Amino acid sequence: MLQARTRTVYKQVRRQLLWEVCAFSVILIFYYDAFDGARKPVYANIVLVAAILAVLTHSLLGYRRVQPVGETGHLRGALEKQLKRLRVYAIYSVLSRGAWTIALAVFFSATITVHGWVFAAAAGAILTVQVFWLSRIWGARIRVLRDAVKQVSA
Amino acid sequence: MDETTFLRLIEDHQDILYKICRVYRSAPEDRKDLFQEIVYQLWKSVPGFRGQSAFSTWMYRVALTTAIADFRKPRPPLRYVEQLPDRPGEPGNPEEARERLFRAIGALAPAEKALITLYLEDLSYREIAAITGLSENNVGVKLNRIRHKIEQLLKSHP
Repeated sequence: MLQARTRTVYKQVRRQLLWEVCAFSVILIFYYDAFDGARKPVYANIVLVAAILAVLTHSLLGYRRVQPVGETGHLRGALEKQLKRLRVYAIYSVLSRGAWTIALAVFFSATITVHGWVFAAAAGAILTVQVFWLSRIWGARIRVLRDAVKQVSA
Repeated sequence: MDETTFLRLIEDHQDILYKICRVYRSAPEDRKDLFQEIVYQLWKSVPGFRGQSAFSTWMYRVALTTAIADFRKPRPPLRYVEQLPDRPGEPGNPEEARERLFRAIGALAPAEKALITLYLEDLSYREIAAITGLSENNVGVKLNRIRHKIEQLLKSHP
């Protein structure tokens, strides 16, 4: 019970992390051949790889987030610390997922000259929905913790 | 603190952890997960325990922070019974009353649950204030409101 690897939360996060690392590694290895990376401009390749790394970093930070809450004097202080960490993580979560969508759009529309605006419009719509959806999820989680902090404040 | 001492202390105070898990999680599986998570967080936080307060006081802080800060979606509470009862539960049954009280506490906000749990553990206002970071006066005011809220909840769900 005192080992991190035996925790249910840890197992769930580790499983998700493993899946994401595998999936994005496969994309990284095969995208160049499968999606004609050689024919795309260098900047499009760099943007895509950077976005994949951002998403993977997000997952790793997510794993770190389930690490010890630690001792911070009293409940209010500990919750405030958790709230701060959660806010930062939420921002990174939304940004990394948004960057992934933008990178995909940049990569696939890089060599398209005709109807490039269709890609831009589609990517914009997907980005809006994604950011809206993620913001709502994180907003609800932050609200619960923020309310708890308020309730233990004078 | 070595592992053996820590586990002995956890064993001595496990009732506290069970109560916190009972208050913050409805489904038995979620309670087990939370219990496991709290013990892990306590173990990892042990270096921060300087013995300035009682072990139980420190334990409440870490356990309540873990319970409140965990945002994972809880499972729906499902209860399986071997046999359906022939008669409805007796209204005066202490077990039934206890269950009703836990249900009412379960409907409170996370921080309110923390305060009432500490209160039901017979902790003084001073001790509750030390754990939560509130002033003693504030603890009293908030507990009065919570008690009133619980009364209302018990009346509306007899």
